[in-house]
Amino acid sequence: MNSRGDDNLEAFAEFLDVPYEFRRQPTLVPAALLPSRRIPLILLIVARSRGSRASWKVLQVLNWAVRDPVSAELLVGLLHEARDAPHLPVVRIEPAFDRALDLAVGLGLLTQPKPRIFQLTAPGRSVVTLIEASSAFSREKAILEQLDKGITQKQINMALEWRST
Amino acid sequence: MTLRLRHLRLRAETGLGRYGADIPLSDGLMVIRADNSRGKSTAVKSLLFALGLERMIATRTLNALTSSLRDRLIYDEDTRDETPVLASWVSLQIEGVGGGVATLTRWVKHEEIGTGLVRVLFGPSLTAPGDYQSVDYYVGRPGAATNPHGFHRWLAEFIGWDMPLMPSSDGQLTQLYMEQVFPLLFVEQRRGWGGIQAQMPYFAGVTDVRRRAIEFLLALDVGGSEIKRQRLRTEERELTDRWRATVRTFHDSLAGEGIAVLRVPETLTVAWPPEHPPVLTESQDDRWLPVDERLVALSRELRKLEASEIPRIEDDASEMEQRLTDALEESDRLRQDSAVMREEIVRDTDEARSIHARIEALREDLREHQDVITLSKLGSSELDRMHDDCPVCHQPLPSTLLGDISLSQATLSAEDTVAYIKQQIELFDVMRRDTGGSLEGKQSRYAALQRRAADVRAVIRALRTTLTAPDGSPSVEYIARRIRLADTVERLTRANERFYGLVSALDRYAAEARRVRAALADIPHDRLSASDQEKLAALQASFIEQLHAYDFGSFSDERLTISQEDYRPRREEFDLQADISASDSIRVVWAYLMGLLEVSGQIPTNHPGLLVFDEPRQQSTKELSFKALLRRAARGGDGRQVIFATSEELTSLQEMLGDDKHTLYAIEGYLLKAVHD
Repeated sequence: MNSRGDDNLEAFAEFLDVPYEFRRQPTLVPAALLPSRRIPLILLIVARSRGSRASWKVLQVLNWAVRDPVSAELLVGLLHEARDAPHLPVVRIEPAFDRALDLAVGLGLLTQPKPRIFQLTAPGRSVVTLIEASSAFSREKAILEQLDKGITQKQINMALEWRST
Repeated sequence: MTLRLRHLRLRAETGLGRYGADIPLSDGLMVIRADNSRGKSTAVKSLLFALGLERMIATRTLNALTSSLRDRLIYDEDTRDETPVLASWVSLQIEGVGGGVATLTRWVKHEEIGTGLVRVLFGPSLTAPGDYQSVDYYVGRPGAATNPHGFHRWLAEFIGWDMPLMPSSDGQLTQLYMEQVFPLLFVEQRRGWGGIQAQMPYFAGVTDVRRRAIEFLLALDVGGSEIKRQRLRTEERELTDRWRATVRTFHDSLAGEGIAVLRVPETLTVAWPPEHPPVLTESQDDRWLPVDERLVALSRELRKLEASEIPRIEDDASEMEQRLTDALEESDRLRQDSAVMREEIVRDTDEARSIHARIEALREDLREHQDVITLSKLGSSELDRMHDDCPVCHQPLPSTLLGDISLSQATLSAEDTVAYIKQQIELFDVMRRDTGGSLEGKQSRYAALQRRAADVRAVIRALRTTLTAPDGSPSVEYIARRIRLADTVERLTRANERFYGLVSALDRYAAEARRVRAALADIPHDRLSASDQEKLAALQASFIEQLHAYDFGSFSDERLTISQEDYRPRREEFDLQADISASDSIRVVWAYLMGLLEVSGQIPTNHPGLLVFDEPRQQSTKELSFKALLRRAARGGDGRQVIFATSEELTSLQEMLGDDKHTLYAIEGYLLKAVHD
């Protein structure tokens, strides 16, 4: 900047003559990356699984399915109607989902009776009761309903393996 | 309308056994006495908790209770040693309209049962244990006041209340909630004495809720004009819908005609007809010409053609050749214009589609963030822990799932995000309407170009046929032109007729809307009926008489009135509560609430005959003796129940109560003691 510009800047600062500070604006974060949404959603998914427990693999698949209606329809087709759309993935492993799982375990909402198996704890169950009674997750609930209660590990394995051939 | 509290039972399981308290509650003046910090507030707050009304005093359910039921209770009076509470619950036996009896149980702490559940036993299970039928209701969540499984819906019926629907800020009807009525029946220690209805909880919805609550409790007739206002609003909404549908149908009927209507708004307006009247136009090259003018010109041309004789070919072969050349040129030009227009339409359609997709995605985002807000309002302490620090390392838990980098960064709150997304949706909605409008215009133009191209092709065919026909035969081109012209005139005439139909329908709707809006503005504000006046006069008399008796000091009381507008006490034109001492504020709250109760003894109202006062903290009562207040409360006898919780010295309390009829329950030491059920 030339000297004249500096002068101007100085004059402007003098003119302002008030204490000021710069603060970073809060960042907008997509809801899918908020623990406050993701953890309750995981609890809901586990609760809707057979015996209120689910393996890591099942959770990843269901997580992908509740993301949008297209994935859900694909999974319903695969599991119940022997329909497939080979150009679409059934599951994508999401790091954020794993972090949410870790947090849920850390907060005592889920336990791991075996490695890679997740089960609701009593506090987790009470949270799910509240969620079920609330208006939250209307679309996700509908999708899980569609997938029917109790998806088994076997069904998921079959769907995944048969696809990979 | 009846509600009486009969028996309060508190229980807490600890590692040292079961602790609890039982307080029988009787009619008339019922005084509960305990030393400071010995459990008086626990008892009073438990009453609110059992009735599911804790949102009057706290936004989070459990904050409404003292820690002795929630976390730790003192088990040793001398050492003040504490032990953790493992499970706890509150039971309250109540009596309702027509002598109905029920026992409510709500768990404060329980492994499986949350605070959102109230178990109702249909019998006096605390005073006469037995095998009574029971039903679980839920409370503290949307629907608790309206859903058949909602506790407050049940409780309203039990009291004999028909909770009214009130106009809310968004023009819909919303129920008046119990939490909004109870500040007139229940005064809590901390905030309740700051003024009349000081503990009004914040709920979105009903407008002017303090006034509405008083209208409901006094059963004032003024609600009638509210309903009238509501009916008019509904009428207005219907007109808005009809307007929109009519305009839309008309637009649809123009599809493919190459005709557009200008200056017709899609939404209802009373400024109709506009200064520049609406007009129907047809696309001509780059311009939009009024159909009226086109019709005049075309009709004139048609009449001329019809009047003239059919020309023979030898008459004007060279002129016909010239016209054929012109027509061929025009046909080429039209083809080019059509191609350009088609491209633009494809582009705009694409844009409209992507805007639509963007709006859909934003709506989904909005829903997800609204979920976050809903979840945060569930009041689950388990979920709330997410916002605490890590119990092991005391670092803040991450606010996003992005990984380590997000730790230090502040994230936008769900409320702010929702507001931001809503703004975005609004913006994209404007873009969608704009793109949609111009797309429609282009499609009309394209249709007009196609129609014109077809016409020109017909002209070319006819000219060729005419030119190759033997000399002396009649001009095919001429005949074809005449038929086409007649056809166009008829088509435009039909569209024009529909257009005038539209305008006259809109004229009607606008006139109706003007009538409705005028009627809305005409609803009088002084709507009090004779019986309303009578009730307010009785309230005013009781209120002033009480202030006399209580040595109200702030003003000379002759100038006090109860406002006919908001039903609150006023001195001349000013709100009485604006500028009075703390002890006078207590006198005012007491006198007003007691006044509401006393009016119900003279004239039927919706008052359930119950008042609960939790004595204010010491500092504000220094110059205040409760003697006169209690005497007044005792006066009504058994026809009502006034519960007063106090820490006043026992001897001085007994002296205050004197010979007045009352029941005193004095708590020795701590409220919660070891019990053996």
